[in-house]
Amino acid sequence: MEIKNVVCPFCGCLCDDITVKVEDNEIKAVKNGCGICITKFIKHHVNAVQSPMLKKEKTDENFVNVSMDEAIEKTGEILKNAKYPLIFGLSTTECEAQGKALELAELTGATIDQLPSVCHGPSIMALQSVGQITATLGEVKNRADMVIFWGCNPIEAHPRHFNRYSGTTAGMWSDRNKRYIVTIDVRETHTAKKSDKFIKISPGKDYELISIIRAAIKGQKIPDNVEEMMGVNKDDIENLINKMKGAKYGVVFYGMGMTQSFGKELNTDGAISLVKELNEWTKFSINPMLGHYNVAGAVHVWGWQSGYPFSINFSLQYPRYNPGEFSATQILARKECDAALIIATDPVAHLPNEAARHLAEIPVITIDPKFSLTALISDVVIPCATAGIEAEGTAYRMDGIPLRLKRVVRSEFLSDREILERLIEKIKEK
Amino acid sequence: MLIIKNGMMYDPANKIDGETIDIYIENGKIVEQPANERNNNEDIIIDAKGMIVMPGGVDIHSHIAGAKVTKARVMCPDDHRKDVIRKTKISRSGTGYTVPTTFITGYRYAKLGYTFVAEAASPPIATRHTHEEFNDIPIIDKTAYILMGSNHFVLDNIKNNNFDGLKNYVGFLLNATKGYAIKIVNPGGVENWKWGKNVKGLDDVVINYGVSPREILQNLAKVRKELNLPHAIHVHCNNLGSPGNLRTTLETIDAVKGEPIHITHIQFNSYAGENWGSFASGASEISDKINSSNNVTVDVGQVIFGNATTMTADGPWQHTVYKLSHQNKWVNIDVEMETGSGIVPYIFKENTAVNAIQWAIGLELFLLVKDPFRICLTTDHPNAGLFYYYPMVVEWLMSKKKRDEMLNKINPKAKEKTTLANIEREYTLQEIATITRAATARIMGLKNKGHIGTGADADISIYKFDENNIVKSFSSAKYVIKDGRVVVKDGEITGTHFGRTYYVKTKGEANDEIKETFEKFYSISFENYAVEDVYVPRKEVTECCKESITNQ
Amino acid sequence: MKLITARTLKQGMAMEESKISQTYQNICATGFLNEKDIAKSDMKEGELIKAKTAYGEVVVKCSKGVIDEGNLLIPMGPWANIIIGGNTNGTGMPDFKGIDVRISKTDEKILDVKEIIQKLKEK
Repeated sequence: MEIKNVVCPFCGCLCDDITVKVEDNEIKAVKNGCGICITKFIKHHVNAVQSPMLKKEKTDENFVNVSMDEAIEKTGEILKNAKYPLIFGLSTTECEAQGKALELAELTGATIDQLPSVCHGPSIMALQSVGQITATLGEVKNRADMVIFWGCNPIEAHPRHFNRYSGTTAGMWSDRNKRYIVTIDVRETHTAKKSDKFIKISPGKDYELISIIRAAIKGQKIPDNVEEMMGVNKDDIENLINKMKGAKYGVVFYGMGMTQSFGKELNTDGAISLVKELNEWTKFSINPMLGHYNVAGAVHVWGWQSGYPFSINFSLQYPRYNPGEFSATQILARKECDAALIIATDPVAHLPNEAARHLAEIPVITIDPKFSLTALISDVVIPCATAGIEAEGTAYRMDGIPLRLKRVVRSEFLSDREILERLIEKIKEK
Repeated sequence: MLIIKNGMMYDPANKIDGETIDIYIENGKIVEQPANERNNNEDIIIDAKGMIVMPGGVDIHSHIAGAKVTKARVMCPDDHRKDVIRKTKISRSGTGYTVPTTFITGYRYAKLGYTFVAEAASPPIATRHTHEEFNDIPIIDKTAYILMGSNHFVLDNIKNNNFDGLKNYVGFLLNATKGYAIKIVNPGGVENWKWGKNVKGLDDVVINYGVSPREILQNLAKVRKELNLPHAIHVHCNNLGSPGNLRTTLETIDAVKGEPIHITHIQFNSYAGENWGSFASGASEISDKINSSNNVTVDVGQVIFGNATTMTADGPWQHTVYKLSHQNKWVNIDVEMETGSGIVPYIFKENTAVNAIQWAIGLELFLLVKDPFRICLTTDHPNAGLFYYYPMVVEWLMSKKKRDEMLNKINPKAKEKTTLANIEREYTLQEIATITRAATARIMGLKNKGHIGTGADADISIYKFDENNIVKSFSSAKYVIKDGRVVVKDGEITGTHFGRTYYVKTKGEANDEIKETFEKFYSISFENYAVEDVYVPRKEVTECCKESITNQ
Repeated sequence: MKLITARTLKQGMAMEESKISQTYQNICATGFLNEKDIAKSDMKEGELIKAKTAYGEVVVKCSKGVIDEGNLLIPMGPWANIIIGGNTNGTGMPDFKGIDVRISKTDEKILDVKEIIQKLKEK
């Protein structure tokens, strides 16, 4: 059986033209997806957790298989007894689960955080200080005659973005020939190679370059030693500015090169301010290249339910927000939480060691379809149906467009949402 | 059975003006008084002696759910600190201020005695998002108007003089999005904004399409009629917010040549003067026009001083507000093939001449329009004011004394440039019930809302009315009943069941041409566009035509 | 040198398949250097290098990369994270890009994920 127009649950591109061939509840082939999409679908059962399991003692070497009820019972106990629990992850599961996780955090007085803390948090923080001038990806396809990739490398991190939305795609009034593509990065990435112009910038100098461009647009002189300052020569900057002012519809895409480098949210703040100012000349937009396929989902769901996008604390029975104070990395690094529920993420693999270390000392529950590195040090591991492959739900693309994830094969396990619902019921009982 | 005894009923649709009438409710509906006397211990009896009873409030235009509303929530975390709501055993926590979170939206509307709210502007491609938020708003019934005034297929069909194509597309779009009405915002201007431009008048031209706002309005008004939709075209006029725009508003009314038209937040389109310096009220001319045009209904968009968050699909106007707003946040979102939106936090200040005049213009409109069945109470929440302060508007309308107090406090230009000081009229309770319930429900074509006749939905609000404290009287209801269940008692939430999503089913389906164009120019697959049934778990569908196609 | 950690296509594919695999280790326990830097340190591609920051040290395999002199790129993952600190200066975002790092030749071995986890448990 061929299932068409499946939505891929990997990156912020949320490609929805994937065809999946299924036979006897097994995925046999995947068409149209990039390498990561194909791997995700075809190998979704590789390294899968086979049963709910727990360790009687945290120091035990081995897990013991238990029933779902026992795993939920133990999890409920851990969360109920904790004084300052942390719920973390959720950027790679569907929206109803994200909503249930927030409900669970409210119920247990927990701090709940998702992945922007380590990825596009700075973009959202910039939205919160200066706003956002953006466009859905179809606008880029149809109108953009100038595209700037700043500190991002879609060819590797969002493999089909360039062909589907921003580079070679042909739209109503634009196509590759009409689009002038620039990459600004510290190294000549694959994306740079496909661009019309590559501007190499010294690491950690994005804020300086953005500021110089903003000043130059307002008529200030570009300093002569600019190349010494940031590795970019004056002519390149002048040409870039002329091209930007002359564009009919310009779009900037940016990624971790801007959000994770020195300056972080000040960089994104500056970039968005630059685009706001360009709108006095012509039409310009700026889009964050959200990495995980449903970061935008949690930003929206938690946004409409609590008013905040991530790093939310419920200790006082109402939502409070403070990046840094309530960010998972900091809470773990400062050893503040006394229990952790990890859903759809792998902090042992992806957070700095100093933070991951604390997970080895406190009770941890992991909900994940696969054996993540965090699962290996958890007290309870609960397998779940993979959203977008074995469970339906909503996901929000990097530009905020919501799509329905399909279920293409059945799983014996419950979905994240169902597991969280059971947990909520269990804790309400106690 | 639920019985409400001894209340003074205000049911303008059924011409009941303060009479003491008992109400009988069963299975969520108003039923006739039973023939035999009841002696049933399971009956719930509410003694509403000394209280006024009205149908549940119906808000015809508010921004409570969807892409731009949530963006506004996320964008102002600094505000949320000022208005936090703790969870209780039966209600969820949240934050308020200018853009309340979803649970809080439901609870606060219910406490005011409102039971139905229309989300005024949903972009089709993201209407799935609007429905997701609806499913997190407790108690009230909801519906969504669908943005169409700068939609590619609409513009293209008009350009090619293909009325049948246009009609079919609009029908398809309403079916696919599970929406309720045709919403038109700055027709044509939102498309021009995607090239950084706008439209200046009804006969200006949309870039690349060559059609005019006049043609967009005329064609969509005709489509609405032929699709037999329950609500007129819902229009946010061109030139909103600009001094002198009353001319555009009058032209807009003339343009539809007698077809029903609902003009929204008309206060923002009732301006005389040539520039900000000579800014003045055009309320007299506008209300004269409304009074003499039976096809026109309006909602006011009354200004309430204090913090607001402006959010509309009118991108170019939002850019202007940004420049006038003396603060640093501006959001603009271009939505492919369809529409756009803009968000700017704003503060209406009593001392600022323009804001003071705007405040007065809204009240002038309410007081000069003669038929309360054709004018509705709104603040275009959260654009001009917040829905929690509707009772303040009620007080200004019912008490000349209170309006004069305000008029004397604010910038004197409000007296100079408007006629408000000379208006003696005071609204009666019956008229208030009309502009907040009976009129709004009738204009929207909601047959079972806005009245307490037999067969109506059992959505009722009961207030303790104190004419010396009108704001307090309406800020928190004594009882609110929704679907026959008590959800508010003494101003507190006692029940949190979820209401229904209303939408239409009409004639229109996606033909090959629509699908081909879609696949070529949208960035998603056609098959994934329409809102799936799973997003409307509790629904109420209005069938518009006998041959409604149901395959969306 | 400056440390950059980043996503790569191969890292993404390996991660989606299984993190407890030799493939994942081969891809993520790699340090990409400019060929001039490799020559300067008297090393060869394929040899092991130790990367050391203020937060820790990790052994990775040396590989030639399209990268500026003075920069070391390690794909995001548990090896990179050993040497990245947990302080975020109140932003919530760790310094995934741009911290100072020193490299040296080494004959210590690359830890596998089980060993990395074992080390986490040590006080």
